[in-house]
Amino acid sequence: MNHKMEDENLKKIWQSKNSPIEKIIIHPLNLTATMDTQLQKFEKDIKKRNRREIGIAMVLIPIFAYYAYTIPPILSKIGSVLLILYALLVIYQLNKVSKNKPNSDVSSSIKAYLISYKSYITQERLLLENVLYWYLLPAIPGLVLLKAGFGFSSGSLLYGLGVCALFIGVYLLNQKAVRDQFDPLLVDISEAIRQLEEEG
Amino acid sequence: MSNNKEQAFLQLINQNQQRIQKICSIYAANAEDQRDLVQEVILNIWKAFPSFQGKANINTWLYRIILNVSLKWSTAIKKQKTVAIDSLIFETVQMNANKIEQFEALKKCIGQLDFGERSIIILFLEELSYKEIGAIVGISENYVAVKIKRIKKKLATCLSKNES
Repeated sequence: MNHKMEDENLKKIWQSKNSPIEKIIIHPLNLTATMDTQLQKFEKDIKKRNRREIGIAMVLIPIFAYYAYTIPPILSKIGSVLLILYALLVIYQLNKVSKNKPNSDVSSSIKAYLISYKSYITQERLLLENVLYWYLLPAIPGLVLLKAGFGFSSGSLLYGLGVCALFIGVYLLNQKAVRDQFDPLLVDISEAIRQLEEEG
Repeated sequence: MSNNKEQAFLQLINQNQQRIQKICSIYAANAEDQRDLVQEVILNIWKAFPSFQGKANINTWLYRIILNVSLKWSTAIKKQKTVAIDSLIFETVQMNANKIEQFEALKKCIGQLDFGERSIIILFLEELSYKEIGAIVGISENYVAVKIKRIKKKLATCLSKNES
């Protein structure tokens, strides 16, 4: 079979399916409402996470400000101030990263769309991978000083262990998300880009 | 969206619904998945429609949306289960069984290609020129030709295996 015939044969098979399997009936009024509720789950989860973390940080600021003002021990006052700064740092980091949005222009070329999507996913992955440095470790000095102001007792060990367990849990969950969700996704996207970049 | 735009959108979807469904069927694992993907594509067309510049070729614009949404769909971390909505209704239409069989064989072989190749061959089968394919995918016309040659070889091997 020559190339021309091969092409025509393939196109004929493709185009033979010229009746729709299903007829689509559209109700335009509902489309906009649907659009709002159907963000990709992945992006929706990220937005939800950012809102939740920023919300928690904003609640913590007045609480620690109140502590700093009312608690007598100077070390606890310093600890509270450090925790306010920590909450501000978390808000800053999440605000910064939420400005990094995926390319919403679905009508751009496939390659451009892939590259932009990859950059977005890479940024989000980095945020989770470095959670220890921007989210967990900066909280420690404030928490230690807050507790130290009241002196260390047998309960302090329990407090310390509880905080450590929580931090380890948060760290491991984030690394799991990097490994199980972000890395495979990045491999897929990078492979798709590579296929389009490969030179003939 | 104004009434005129809305009418133009509905007309666009009516004219292209076979094309949308056919392409989505390549990326979807089953009929339910396909409906979800078609829905996602139509929602994205609806979303992008008001900003469509008349200067651009509507087909190029439409193919880009179908393929980019399908790409995101096939690489999404976990495809979300779409909420049951009544903005789209699918009515079953009977088809010739013989035609389905041939198409399914081709679909299966295209499904085995990687993402870039899949997009290119779909556009080729849709009878777009190399220039148009290059513009949609974002690669040079020459590279489209090279890719198509390779893909056709793969498809021919796959189809002949299926026949035997």
